[in-house]
Amino acid sequence: MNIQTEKIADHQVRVTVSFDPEQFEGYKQRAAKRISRDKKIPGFRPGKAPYDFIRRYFGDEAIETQAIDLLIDEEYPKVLEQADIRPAAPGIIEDIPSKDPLTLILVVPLEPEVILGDYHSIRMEYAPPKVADDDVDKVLEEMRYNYATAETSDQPAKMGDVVLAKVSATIQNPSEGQSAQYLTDSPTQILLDDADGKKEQPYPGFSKALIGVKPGDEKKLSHKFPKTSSTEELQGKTVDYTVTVETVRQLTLPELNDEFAQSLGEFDTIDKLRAEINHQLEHERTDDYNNEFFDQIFNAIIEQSTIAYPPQLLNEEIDAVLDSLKKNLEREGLDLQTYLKTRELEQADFIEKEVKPAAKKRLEQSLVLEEIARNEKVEIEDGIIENTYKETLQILESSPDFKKRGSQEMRRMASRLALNTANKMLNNKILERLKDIVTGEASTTPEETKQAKRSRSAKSASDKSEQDITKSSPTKKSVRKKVSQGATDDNQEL
Amino acid sequence: MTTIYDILRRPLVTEKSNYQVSKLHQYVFEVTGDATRTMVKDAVEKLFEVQVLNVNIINVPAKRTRRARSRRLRVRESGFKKAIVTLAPEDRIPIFEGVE
Repeated sequence: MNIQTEKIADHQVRVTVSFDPEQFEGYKQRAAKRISRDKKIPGFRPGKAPYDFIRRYFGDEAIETQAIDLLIDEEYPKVLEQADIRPAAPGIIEDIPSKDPLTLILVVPLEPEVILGDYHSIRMEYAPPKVADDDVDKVLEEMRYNYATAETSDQPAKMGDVVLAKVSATIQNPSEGQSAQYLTDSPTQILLDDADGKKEQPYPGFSKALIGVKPGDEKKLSHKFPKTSSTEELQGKTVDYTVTVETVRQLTLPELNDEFAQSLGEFDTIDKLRAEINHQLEHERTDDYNNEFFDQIFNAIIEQSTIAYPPQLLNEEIDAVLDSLKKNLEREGLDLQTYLKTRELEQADFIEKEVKPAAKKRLEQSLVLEEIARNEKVEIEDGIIENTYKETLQILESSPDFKKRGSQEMRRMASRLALNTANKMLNNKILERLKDIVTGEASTTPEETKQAKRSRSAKSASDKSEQDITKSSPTKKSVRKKVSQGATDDNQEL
Repeated sequence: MTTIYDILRRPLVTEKSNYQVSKLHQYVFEVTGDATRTMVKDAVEKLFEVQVLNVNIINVPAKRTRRARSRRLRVRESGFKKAIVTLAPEDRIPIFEGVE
């Protein structure tokens, strides 16, 4: 076996291998056996026809193709080992320049290489947003409106009332092709509210003008919209409104007391409600903040680092992004084609412009994350994966469709879940560690006390994935399992 | 009138005949129904330029098989006459042995 390697662009390597004729001859014999086993030859039982006869019956070409298939299956891992190549994805046979002696030109994508910059020098403030009492008050106020009771009244409308009215609107000097009649007797519910005024529809100050109206009143208003108005058609136009009031309703807002809290169900006192709201707000905001925070860190790290990976990995990532997009769309009852149509995009364009950058970012993040994990010696404890696996299996076993799906599949599902959990835990740990680094809390060198070896199960999982790659023949597509996935990954397996 | 060129219909290449060629130096042909040992011997010697030591002739009976669809019995394979020709040890007939 004679191997020559040559690096080519895109982080791939071109390997030229020539084999001994005797070796290839052996594979040809086996290939003939296999052909005679698969194909019917009259007069012979399957697998019993002699080599020469198969050659005459099927031709040299068929035997050689089969022989090369077999040879790749068995020799490819050895070739990679001898050439010291760690592949990221199955290679492909680019060309077969000669068959005697057999010479193959293979193109193998290399494992991604990440050279981290000095990410220890990155400093960033970590300041999760605090929830002020004001914010809680706002939420409570909204809740009050949601739970308000409305009563029809004959009194003139005042602040806080709801006015049901028919609204007509006419645009002065409409632009060409624009109909002057913007609204015709459209029934509208107007909450007289002096809140920020920004949200007020159709324009700020509209409700103020309606204070004092009674049922049956007709009010004429005129407003010039600014050029910056959010409604495109009305930008810079003067609109005449005619409001015919039908009913005025008084809103009775519930008091913010324990009773109100109890009416919502789970809360005994208003304080508990406040605490819950506070907690939820804080959770939401911290999550948002964390996402942004880590995003920034990653961007900074990626900028510093040199990341090289073959295009195959990016393609896989694009597929993954598309898949999760499809799943999300399916949940909304759409398919990808319809979605693209509503956005008036071609699929190729869409992939190139939107999916690819997202996939690139995800891939780079996950690669950097992996590398940092290795660098910082972040690991999860032994046994956690096994425990999660057992627990999940138990839950799955008690589920009703256990028998239907079969225990084999359940076991596979459980192991996948356990792996996912482990991934998530590992991710969280890495992120924690990163946070410590950028806030300057961590020591600059990774802790020596932690053992260098990764968790046993995680390791075996990664070993397996490597085997998968090397075993599968280069023409087959095998998906590379990632030991740790990016922080933005949504694991929606179940 | 059958000449020696009409006698041999085709060589029989099967697992069994393959065994006979390699182990027993016997070559198997399907021959016309009115062929005799002498005629087969003459034909093989003339056509392949070999020396024939012995000829065995068997009438392979017709086989009745059933069609899978309709259940009617019907004869599907007609019988034929089979000649097993033993050659002198130094001779061989190449068409039985792979590509030529």
